[in-house]
Amino acid sequence: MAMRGSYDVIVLDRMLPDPDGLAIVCALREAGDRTPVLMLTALGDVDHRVEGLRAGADDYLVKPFAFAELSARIDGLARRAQGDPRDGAPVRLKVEDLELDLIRHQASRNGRPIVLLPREYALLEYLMRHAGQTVTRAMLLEAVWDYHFDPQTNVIEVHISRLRQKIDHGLPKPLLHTLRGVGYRLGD
Amino acid sequence: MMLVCGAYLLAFLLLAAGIYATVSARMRIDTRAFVDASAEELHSLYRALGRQALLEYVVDGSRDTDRTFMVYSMFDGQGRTLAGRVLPASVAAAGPGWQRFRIRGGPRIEAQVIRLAGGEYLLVGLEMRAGEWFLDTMARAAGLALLIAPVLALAMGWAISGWIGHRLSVLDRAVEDVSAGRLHRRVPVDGSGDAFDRIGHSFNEMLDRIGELVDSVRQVSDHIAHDLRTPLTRLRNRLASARAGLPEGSEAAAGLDAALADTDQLLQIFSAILRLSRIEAQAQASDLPPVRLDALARDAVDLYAPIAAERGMRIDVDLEPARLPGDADQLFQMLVNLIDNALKYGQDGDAVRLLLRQEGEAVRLEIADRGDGIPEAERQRVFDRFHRLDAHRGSEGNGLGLPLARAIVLRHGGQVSLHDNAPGLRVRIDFPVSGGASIA
Repeated sequence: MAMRGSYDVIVLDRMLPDPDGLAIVCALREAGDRTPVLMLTALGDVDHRVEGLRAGADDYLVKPFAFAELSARIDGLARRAQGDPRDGAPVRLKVEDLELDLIRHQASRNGRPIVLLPREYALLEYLMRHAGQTVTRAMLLEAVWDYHFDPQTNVIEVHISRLRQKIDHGLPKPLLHTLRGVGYRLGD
Repeated sequence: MMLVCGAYLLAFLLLAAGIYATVSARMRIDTRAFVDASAEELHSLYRALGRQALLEYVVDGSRDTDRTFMVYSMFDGQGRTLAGRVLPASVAAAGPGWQRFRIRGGPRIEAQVIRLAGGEYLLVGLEMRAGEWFLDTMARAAGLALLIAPVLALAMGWAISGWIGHRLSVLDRAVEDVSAGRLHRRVPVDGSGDAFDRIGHSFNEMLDRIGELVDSVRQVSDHIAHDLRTPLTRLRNRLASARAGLPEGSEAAAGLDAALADTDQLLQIFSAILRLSRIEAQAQASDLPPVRLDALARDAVDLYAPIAAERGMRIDVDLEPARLPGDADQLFQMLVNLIDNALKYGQDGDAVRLLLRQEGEAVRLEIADRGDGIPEAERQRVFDRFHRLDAHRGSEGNGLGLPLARAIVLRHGGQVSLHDNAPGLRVRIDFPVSGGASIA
């Protein structure tokens, strides 16, 4: 079915009866099909995750998951597949009056420069690349910190609020929104 | 020990005294029989041939160089010597019967005095030269043995108690390891079937049984966590979609937000339980490629620096480059849990200190706070699942952070120990020398 139709995103369960999810992804990729694949699985170990990504999956989500997490990740994949201009090789990201110069590693809002720490910069870059989308905490931890782990306290919240201080403070229109119980979104 | 030694000595003394008494009594009986026979022979000589013949015999006998051990003497009623050896006055005065005496410090003489028909006295005796020598030698040997025996007894006692101590210390180390949480540890048994071997066997059987019980308890909690996770996630999704339709700030929305937060916390606990079990079930990490623990520590500190700043605290680091074969995600989780704990329980305004050292291949990591610390009696129990100090029961946290950190440390072949930081708690993690790091 995956081979016949044309889809924006394929959500694939890894634990399918013969052939399993891994084999399907491999077959798709060998056939030259670049449709983004989000793999769902009950196997959550790092090794399993690496296996899935190596086989050609674009993202990997461990069951059980919150629906918002799934929807946020599917959005991300779909946008990437549609050749979103922000995902090419841009030198400058722009969300309303917030700008990020990817060459000079400089952020500014409304023409006024914002001084960012390296991690804040990485966080902002990720959020701007996914502007308008819901980004979950897990996605941020994976993308910005590159570790798969369980934060004990809501460390991300603190990083976001620091970033929010820098980009939204004192301005009438806040850009960085918290979606309670789900994650964050930059812009509308 | 002293008691055994004393009893041993007493038994030895009794035995030696018994042998001495028996031997000397036996020798006296034999001597008297011989003396008796000789005296009777001389008496019959006297009766048959008269006084003169006996006098001659006594004189000859006393001169005979082959019979120097024999003592012959004739004396009158006043004690005057008529022939043969001159006797001490006391012997001559004593009258007929058995006598025992010495002549001028010579060997002891066992002798019989017979009153002859003519009113004179005949003494026949035997010098107990050989017997004396034998008994003297025996007494000396016993004396010497008495000196050597306690030394030997002490040495043997020491050797035996050392051996027992060694066997017991093997058991003791195993018990210590088990109580430190390494439930898979067993007492080494040598199959000799002696008492210690049997104790080792029963001990191991007991540990097997305990292990099975612990496993079954763990499995129950794993199953609960696993089976409840899916319905809980469904519940969370339903709450989320109900919440989505409500206006911000309404009472219903606030209630649903709280319910969502509770559900999230439950889900987090369940995933922590499952993660803990997965890590405990994993093989040792020594075959994995080495990771830079100092880089992980820097990233973890970087992640927590804003939280520390928010609480008016800071994280001081003193990190030497350190490599360790292992799983980067798990080691990061361990660091995060420990830093999180230190920040949570450290005193506001104080610094949390993170120290990393590598000596050879052994890596030591220390995280110290300056909070209230943990009472000594509680230190071991904070590694139990869901154990929380009474003082912290109300605060956030699920009581799985330290057990998870410890499971990761154990998987990487390390040990966690808790120390007093006066004030505060110092968590020390030692990863011993491991084969993997040197190969890589």
